[in-house]
Amino acid sequence: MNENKGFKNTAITVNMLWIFLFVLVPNLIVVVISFLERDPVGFFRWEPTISHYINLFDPVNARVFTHSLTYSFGTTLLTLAVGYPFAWFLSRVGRRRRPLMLMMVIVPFWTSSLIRTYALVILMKANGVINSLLVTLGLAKGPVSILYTDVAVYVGLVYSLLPFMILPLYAVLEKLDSRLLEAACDLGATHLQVFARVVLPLSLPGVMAGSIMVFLPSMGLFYIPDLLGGAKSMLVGNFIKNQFLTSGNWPFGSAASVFLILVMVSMMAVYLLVMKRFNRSVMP
Amino acid sequence: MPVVYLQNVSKTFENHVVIDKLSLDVFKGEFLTLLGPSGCGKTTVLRLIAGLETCDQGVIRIGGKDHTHVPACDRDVNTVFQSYALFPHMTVFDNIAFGLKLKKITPMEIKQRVEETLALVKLSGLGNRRIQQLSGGQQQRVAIARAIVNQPLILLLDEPLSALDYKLRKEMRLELRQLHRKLGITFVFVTHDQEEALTLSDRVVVMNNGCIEQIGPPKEIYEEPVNRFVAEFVGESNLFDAEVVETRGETMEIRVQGVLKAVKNRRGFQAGQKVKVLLRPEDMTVEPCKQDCPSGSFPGRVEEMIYKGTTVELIIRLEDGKQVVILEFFNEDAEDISYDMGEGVCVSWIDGWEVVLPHE
Amino acid sequence: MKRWVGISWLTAVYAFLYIPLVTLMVYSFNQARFTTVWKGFTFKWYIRLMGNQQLLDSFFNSLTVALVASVIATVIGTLGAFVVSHYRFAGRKIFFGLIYSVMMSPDIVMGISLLMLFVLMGMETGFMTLLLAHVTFCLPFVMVTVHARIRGFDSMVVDAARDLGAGEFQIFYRIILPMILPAVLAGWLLSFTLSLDDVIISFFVTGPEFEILPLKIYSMVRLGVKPEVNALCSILFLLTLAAVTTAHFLTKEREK
Repeated sequence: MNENKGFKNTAITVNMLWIFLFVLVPNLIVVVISFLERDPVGFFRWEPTISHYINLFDPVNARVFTHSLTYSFGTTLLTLAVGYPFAWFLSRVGRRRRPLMLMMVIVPFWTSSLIRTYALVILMKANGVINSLLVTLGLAKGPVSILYTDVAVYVGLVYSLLPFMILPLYAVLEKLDSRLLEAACDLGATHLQVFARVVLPLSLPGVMAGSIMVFLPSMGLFYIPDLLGGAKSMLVGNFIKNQFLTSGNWPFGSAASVFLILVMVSMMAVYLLVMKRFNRSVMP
Repeated sequence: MPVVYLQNVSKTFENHVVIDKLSLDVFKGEFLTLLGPSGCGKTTVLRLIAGLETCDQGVIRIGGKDHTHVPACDRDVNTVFQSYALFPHMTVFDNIAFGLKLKKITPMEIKQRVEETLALVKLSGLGNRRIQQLSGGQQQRVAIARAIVNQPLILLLDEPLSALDYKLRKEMRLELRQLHRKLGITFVFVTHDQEEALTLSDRVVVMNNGCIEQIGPPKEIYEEPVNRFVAEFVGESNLFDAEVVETRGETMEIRVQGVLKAVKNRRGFQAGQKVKVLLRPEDMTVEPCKQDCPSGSFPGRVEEMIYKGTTVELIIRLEDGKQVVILEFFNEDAEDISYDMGEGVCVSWIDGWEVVLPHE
Repeated sequence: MKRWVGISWLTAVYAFLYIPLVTLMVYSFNQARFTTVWKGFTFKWYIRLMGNQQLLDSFFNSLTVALVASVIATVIGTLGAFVVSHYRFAGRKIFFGLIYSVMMSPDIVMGISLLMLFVLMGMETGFMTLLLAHVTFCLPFVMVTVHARIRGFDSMVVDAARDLGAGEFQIFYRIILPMILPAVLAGWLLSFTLSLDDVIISFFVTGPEFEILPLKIYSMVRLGVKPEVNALCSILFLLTLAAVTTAHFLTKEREK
């Protein structure tokens, strides 16, 4: 009896303690420090202020944020546009071949995003593979500059995050009952109508999950603009990194992080809300 | 002395009362069935006896000792689970040996006892099979073997036959009875299938909404239900509204469907009291009638005739619109039972086979 | 017609996903140092890699952290998955919420929040802080993988074991663990790769004395393309490939 309780309690305590100490406490620290005055020696002083939040709206800083949000929206839309048809076609591939093809999506998902970004550098360099090809094929006269532009950053973000969009989409599309499609066709729906009225509404959870999984990390991947972008290409991630490592401004960096946390919380809230309505409408 | 004794036991799940002050005695060696609709709390009673749930109030005694706070692993009780709950990563032998191994019994004895039990459930030689290689019926037998190999004081069975098909279910019923006789262990069986309850048990406990409605031998439950719920849950029944006109000691006169009938008065009904008359379909009789019905029977018309092999089920609409179901047996000597749709008939019942219940 | 659209779309996306990686591997065998022009086949970058003590050290450091962190995360995460699926306890819902928020929260927030925690606790950034951070971000992945598997089988099995006389530890050790073992191994392998690949969180919580491979690579590639890095990245890619394939087959076993 005691031995039973001992095992159960140890297992619960270790887990709870770990998560509380290394997840809850650090996040609370971020929030608290974002409301404190900066101190050049001890990083912060125990003086409450909201000046860091006001400072975030300073035009120079606000531009970084709007720019970063544009990158994230663009990346989400691009991955959706590429990933949705891909996931759909993948879910219609023969049952035998599907596991292998799915595996091939998962492999880059788990490969270091840094390595994949670096691989893009080789391709997009001025004397890189793409340029050499263009010149050889006579499509371009001299080297076109792709690397160190916004285009390169988009390519890098899409390349890094595409699997995050494909996998949740595939998960819902694969489960889609093909009899529903047959029923819709049988009732006289055109292909477009089947898609708009049956497939898309039922795959909504996948679209939402995929968009969140692309949107959120896309704001933090600071090494992508570092390696691929120009001097002005900056994500919120780069901004936060600079505050902590270059300026040593913890409170300001924390305020920017709170912004990210808020984006995350609101996206998850929207997701849960939509899912609740979705489940209610799908399940009688 | 009862082998299991529950006194005023209550159990609440998330503000929902599942068991409400229930008391029950289970006697040594009997085959007791808990019968009731889903959600009536019968499985919870079983889990309380097993120790898989703890009660909020009340006392549970097993084998004469207080077991209210004894955990499942220390109770001399074993369960056959509804979906069998066999360990998928173990062979048949390892599944059955699991309880014995935990009791630190020598490997020699374990082997011997498992082999014996396998023979008992007719699975000799299948010890090395994996669970996934067995049919549903075989898995069922392994689940039983895994429980009885521990020689528990009480064997609990939670709807063990519900996953089997009809033919297999009938076979297993017979085997369960034989097993019960051979082992002499107390069986507590849970089911929602009244046929199963009636054919298997020594005593049946009919439950509803966390309470016991009636306890008794199958015959008593079927023939003398104490209330409308039991009457309607166990077997099919026709219920008539009636009124007591006059009482004469052991008998009384009632008015039912506008007809006066003399029936037994077992519950001391008073004149003027409203009552219900319960009649099983097979207890009612039907006769073709040309003009008026003889006294004591009601006129009606045949609405549907359903052939059922050895019986015919007649659905008859009485004059006031009430619908009754009557079961007629084929008789070797008699002619075919045959009615036309809409044919006029007279409906009555065999005297003394009615059950009169208070109006609820 | 429709069929062709499907096939070409699939092909194009696979090409997009794999061409950069294949190019990287091909160029790791290229003689030329600065250009992407093919100058002949060579192993010299791999050989030179073997001679780069700094790189080897950081690789060894990465392996150590990944190994230790993934083992700790697997032990705690497996227990955690068992705990949340079998017991009710105060704070269970908050616990679940936190687990999911770790998976969703941007790496950078986790990186800076842990950095501040460690500094405030007076810890020197280095192996220890790196280890704690890696265990923390691997934990939810183990828990979710294992939890999915635990939920996949009949919870009655646990009741059955209890009924047959098993205590809580015996239930875990004799029933649950053997049944979830493939998921536990998969969770461990995924943690291992995650830990080996992480850049952003490690960037904040490691110190100058303890350099790990991804950060070493990061600092090298910021200065431009280097053939040794091509070779190194190719090796790492193949390592991930092997780990993911194994993990995939381990989790797939359940369908049998």
